[in-house]
Amino acid sequence: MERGRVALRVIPGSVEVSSEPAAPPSLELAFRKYSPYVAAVAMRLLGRDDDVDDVVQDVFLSAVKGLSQLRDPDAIKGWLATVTVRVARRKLRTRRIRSFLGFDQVPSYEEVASPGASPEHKAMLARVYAALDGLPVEQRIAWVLRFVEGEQLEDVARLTSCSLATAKRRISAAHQEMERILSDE
Amino acid sequence: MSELARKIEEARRQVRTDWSEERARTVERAMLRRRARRAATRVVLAAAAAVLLVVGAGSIVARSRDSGAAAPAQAFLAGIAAPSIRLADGTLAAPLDKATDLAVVETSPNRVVMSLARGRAAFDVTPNPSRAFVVLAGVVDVQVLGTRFTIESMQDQVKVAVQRGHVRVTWANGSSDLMAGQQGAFPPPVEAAQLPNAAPADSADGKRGAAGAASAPGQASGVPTEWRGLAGQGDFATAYDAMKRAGAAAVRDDPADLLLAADVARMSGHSSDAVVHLRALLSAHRSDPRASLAAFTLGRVLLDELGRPAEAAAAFADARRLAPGGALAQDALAREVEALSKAGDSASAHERALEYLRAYPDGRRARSVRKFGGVE
Repeated sequence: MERGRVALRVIPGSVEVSSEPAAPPSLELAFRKYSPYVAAVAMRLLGRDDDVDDVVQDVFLSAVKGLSQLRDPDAIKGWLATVTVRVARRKLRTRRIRSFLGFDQVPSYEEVASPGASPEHKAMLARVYAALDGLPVEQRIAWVLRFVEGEQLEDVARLTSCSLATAKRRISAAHQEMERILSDE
Repeated sequence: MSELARKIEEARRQVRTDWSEERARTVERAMLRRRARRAATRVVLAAAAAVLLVVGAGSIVARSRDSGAAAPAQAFLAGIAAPSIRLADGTLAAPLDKATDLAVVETSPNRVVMSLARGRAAFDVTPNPSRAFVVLAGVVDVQVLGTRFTIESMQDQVKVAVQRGHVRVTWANGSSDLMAGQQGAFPPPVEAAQLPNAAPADSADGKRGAAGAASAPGQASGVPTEWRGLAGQGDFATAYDAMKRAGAAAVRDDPADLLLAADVARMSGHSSDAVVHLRALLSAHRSDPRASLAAFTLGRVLLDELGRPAEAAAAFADARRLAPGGALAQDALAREVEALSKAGDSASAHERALEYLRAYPDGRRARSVRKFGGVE
C-alpha cells in the first residue's frame, strides 16, 4: 500500500503547486519531512533528550491514520504538533508516576541547552526545566508552548485541546508558580 | 513582559535539537519495526478471533483435498506463543511455545538468516527468488523459497514440517528436500550418531544414556522427570534442580548436551553454571559447528548477566575467530566493542568499532558501535 506513494519523494513540495489533488504522504515520507520538527517540539516539552526517540516514534505511529486524511502541509504540521503534545503529556504523566515511586532519576537538565549556548543560558534553561518538573502536567505543557515554543494563545488552546480561557488560566497559574520558584533560588 | 518571560525569551532558542539524519534513520527503522509488530499482532488477534468464532458456531471446517498443502492461515498462526517477527516484505516468523529462542541474525536484500536456538517456530516466507532465506537450527540449515513451514529444535535433531512450498534441509554430511505435506527429523538417526561426540542415537528426545529409555522422535509420552525432558518443556528451574541432583555425570561431554545444560543454567538464573558448560564446550569441541554459537552465548552471559566485560570481549572475539564469515560475526564484533568499552579499554573499543564500520558500513548495530567505540 505504501509503495504506491513512493512517487511523492521525487517531487518534494509539489503538493503546493500541483494542479492535481495532492496525495496524502506516506508514513515514511511524513517521517523524513517532519521528524526534525516533531523532535524539536518534543525536546522543548520534555527537556530530556533520552525521551525524544520514543516520543517521535509514538507520534508518527499515532498520527498515521490522521495523515491519510490530510493533504495540506500546514495541516499536517499542525496535526503532528497536536499529536506530539498528546504523546508528551502521556510521557510526562508516566514520568511523574515513576518519580513518585522512586523509579525516575532526577536529571540535571544540563543537556537541555545546545552545546554552543552561553553558560548563562545553559544555567537558565536547566533551572527552568527543573522548576517545570514541579508543575502540574497540563500547566507545564501550556506554559512551555507559550513561552518556550513561542505559540500564540489560540494555538496553545488548539494544541492542548482546551478552550482559550482554560489555556490562559493554565499559563497564568504556571507563570506565577515559575516566578515564585525561580525567584526563591 | 515580566523579567522571567524576558529571560526565557533569550534562552529558549538555545534548547538543543540535535536530530541528525543518522538518528532519524535509526528511529525510523525502529518505528517501522514496531508498526510491523503491531500488524502481526492484529493478524494473530484476528486469527484467534476467527478460531473462536469457528469453535463457537460448532462449524466443521472443510479440509483441503490435498491435506498436505496450504493449511489455513488462521490454523497456522493460532499456536503463536510470544511476539512474532515480521520482516518488511511480510515474512512472518513466530515462536510456538514460550521456551523458543528465535532471532534474526542477518537481513540484507540478498539474504535473511534467522536462528532457532531452542524450541519450535512457524515460518511463512514471502516468495522472493533473488533472496536466500536460511534458518539455522542446531546442526542443520533450512534453506527456503516462498513457503510455510515449522521447525522444532530437538536434542540432536531438528524436525521440519512443510505446509506449503519447498525447503532444503542441509547438515554436515547431506541434505534433503521436503515438499508440501512432508516432514522429517534431520540429520537422519544414523548420521546423527556419527556427528562428532554425539551420544548413541537410541532416542532424539534426550531420554537416553543413564536413563536408557529408547523411543523414536515424536513418540515420547508422559511427564518427563529427567532434566532434558523438563528443559524441552521449558521448565528450566525444575530441569536445573534435576540436573544438579543427577550429579556430575548428568551432562554428557558432547556439544548438544553442553549447550542444553548451559541454557538450563542460564534460563533458571544460574549464569555462572552456564559459563562452566559453555567453556567446557569451547575447550573440548572447538571444531564443532556450534562452537561459535557457544562463544557468542558465553559473551552474552558474561556481559549481560554477570557484569564481566573483559572476559565477555574475549568470548565475542573467540566467536568471530571460530566462524569469521558466520551469521554471528557482525553481532559478535559489535558486542565486542560494547564489552571493551564497558571494560574501560577505550582504545581497543575504538579500533574494533572502526573495523566494524569498515566491514558493515550500514550495519544494524552501527549506532551502538559508534557510541561504545567513541566514533563520531
